[in-house]
Amino acid sequence: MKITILFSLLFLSLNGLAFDAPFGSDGIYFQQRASSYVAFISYVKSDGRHHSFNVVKTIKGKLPKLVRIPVVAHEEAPLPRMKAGQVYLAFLKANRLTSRLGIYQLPMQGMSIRTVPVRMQAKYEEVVKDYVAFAGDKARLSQKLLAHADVADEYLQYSAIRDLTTVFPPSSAIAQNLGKKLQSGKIRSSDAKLDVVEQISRFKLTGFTSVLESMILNSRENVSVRSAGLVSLERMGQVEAIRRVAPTVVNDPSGRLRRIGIDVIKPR
Amino acid sequence: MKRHWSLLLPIVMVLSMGASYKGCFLEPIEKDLLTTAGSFSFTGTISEFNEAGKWTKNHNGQARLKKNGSYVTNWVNTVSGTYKFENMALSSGVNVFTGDVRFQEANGVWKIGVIPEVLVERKTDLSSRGTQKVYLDWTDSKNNNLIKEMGEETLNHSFTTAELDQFVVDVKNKIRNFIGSSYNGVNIQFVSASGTDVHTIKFYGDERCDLYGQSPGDYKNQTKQQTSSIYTATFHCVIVDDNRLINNTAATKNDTVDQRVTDIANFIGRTAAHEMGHSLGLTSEAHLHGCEGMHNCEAYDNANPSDRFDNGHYIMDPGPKSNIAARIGQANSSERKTKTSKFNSYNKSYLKIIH
Repeated sequence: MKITILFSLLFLSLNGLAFDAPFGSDGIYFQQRASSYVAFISYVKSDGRHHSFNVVKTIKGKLPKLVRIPVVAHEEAPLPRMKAGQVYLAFLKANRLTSRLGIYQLPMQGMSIRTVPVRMQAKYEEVVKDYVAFAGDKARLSQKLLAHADVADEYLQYSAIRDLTTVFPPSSAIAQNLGKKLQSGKIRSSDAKLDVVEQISRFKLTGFTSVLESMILNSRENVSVRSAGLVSLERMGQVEAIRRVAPTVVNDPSGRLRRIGIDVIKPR
Repeated sequence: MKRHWSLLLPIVMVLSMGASYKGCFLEPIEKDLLTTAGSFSFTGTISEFNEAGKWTKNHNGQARLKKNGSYVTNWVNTVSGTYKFENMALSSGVNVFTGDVRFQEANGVWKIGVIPEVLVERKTDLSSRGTQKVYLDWTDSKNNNLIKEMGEETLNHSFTTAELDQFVVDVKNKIRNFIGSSYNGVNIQFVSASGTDVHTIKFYGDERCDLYGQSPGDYKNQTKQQTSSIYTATFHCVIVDDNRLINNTAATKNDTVDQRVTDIANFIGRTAAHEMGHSLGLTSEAHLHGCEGMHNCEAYDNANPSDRFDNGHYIMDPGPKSNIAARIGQANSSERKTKTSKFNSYNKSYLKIIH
C-alpha cells in the first residue's frame, strides 16, 4: 500500500504540470533522444490510474509485452484520445523501480504519444526506424529525412521537416529542395509549411515569391503560414508582392494577420 | 465566422481596388481582451487607405456598431473626426464587435467601409488577488557554471575569471528585469525569500535536455505559494551542445558579451515568465481558450478574430512552437531585429484583473 502511494505521488509530481519545451521537441528526433524506449503500442484499457497497452513492436530498447502509463487527469497533460485496439507511437522512459512493475512514463506527456493511422503503420515504422538507426549519423539521417519530407502523413512530414531545419546547420540546398516540395503542393502540414517559408526567407530564395503570395491570399490557409509568408516577403524585400497582397491582409478577419499586415505595410 | 467572412471578402476586395475605407478603433487600443466590466466604450475614425494598404486620411461621416452579428446601434455621426459608442452592454462570454462606416463625398456618392472585428470577452468569475510576491531562487550553484559555459562556448571572446563571474551576475539581473518588464502593469513584487504567499521561481542545474521548465496550472491563482521549476541545463543543452543559438538565430561567435547576456537572459527569462504565467492561470483550457497543455491556442486564432499566438513572440505560446529567435527576443532567425517576447493582450488583460 505504501509503495502504491509512493508511486502515485511520484507520478503526480512528474506529470500534471504545464511545461515549456524546446522548439521542435515534439518531433521524432528530440522525442527519441529524450526516451529510452520507442515502440508501437496498442491500447487495451484504463483502470483509472493507468492506461494499459500491448506492445506491438519495439524500435528502441526492450519492453515487456504489456506496459502501463499513468493516467494524468490534468488539462496540462493532454493525451490523444484512447481507443481500444488503436495503435500509438510511444516514446517512453522508466526508472528501475517502476519498470519492474511494467510502469513507464511519457517524458513529455502528450507530446510523447501519437496516434498512428491504420494505413500509415508501415510508413511510421520505416521512418521511426531510420531515426533510431541513424541517430548518431547526421549526414545519413539528413538524407533520410529529406526523403521522408513529402510523406503523406502530417506528423511524419512535420517531424522530418522541422528536424531537418533545426537539428542540422542551415543549408541553402535543403531550403531550395523543401521550397520545391512546397511549390509542388506536397507539403500539407501547416507547421512544416511554416518551416519551409522560414527557410525560403532565411536564404532569400526569391524564386518562391509567387508561392508565398498565393498562400497569403488563400483565406483557407493556416494563419501562421500566411503571417510567416507576409513577414518573409518583407525580409526578402519583395515590395511589389507586398503591394499585391496588402489589400487582402489588412482587411482579413484574422486579428493576427491584420496586425502583422499593418506592421509590414506601415511607413517606416 | 469563416463562412461569413468568405462571403464578405470578395465585397471587401472590390472595395479595396483603389482607395478603401475602414472604421478604425482608437479605443480600445488592444483588439483582443478580457474584462469583468458589464459595458465597454469605443472610439474610432473613418479612415481612407490607398491601394497599397497605407493610411492616407480620415473622413467625417457615420458609423454603426454590431455585436455578435447583430446591430446594436443606429448610425452615429462623427464629431471632430471621431465616432463614439459609449457604455455598450457586454454579454457574458465572447463579444465580437464590428460594424460599418460611411461618408458622403462632395459629389453625393456614398463611400462605405467596415470596422475590423474587436474581441472583448466578459468574465464574471475573476477578481483581484492583490499582490503576488515573487522570489527568484538561484541557490543551486550548478547554475553558475552552466551560464558561464553558455557565454564562453558561443563567443570568440576570451573571458577572465572575473568577467565570467560578472557574466553570471548580469544574466541573472537581466532575467529579473525581463520578468519585471513582462509583468509591467501587473501587481507583482520581487522578494528575497520564499514564504506562504510567495511564488518561487527555482532554477535547477541538474543535467537534462528535455524541458526548459514546468509549473502547476492554477486558474485565478488560487494558491499564491507555488513553485515554477526552470531547468538551466536544458538551455545549456540547446545553446551549447546542440549549437542551436548559432545555427537557428542571427547570433554569431563575434557578438559582444553584452549581446550574449541579453540573448541568454531573454531566453531563460521568457521561460521563467511563462512558467509563472501558468501558475497564475494562463492559459487555462477550461476558462481561457488555451490548448496544447495550457498554452496560447493557434487553432483558436484560426477560427476567431483573435491575436493570441505568434510562434514564440507571445510568452505563453506552446514550447515546441516557440522558435529560438523569438525566445531570445529577435524578429527572425537571420537578422538582428529586436522583437521582445510579451504577453498577448488577452493574457495581459487577464493578469491585470487578477493582480
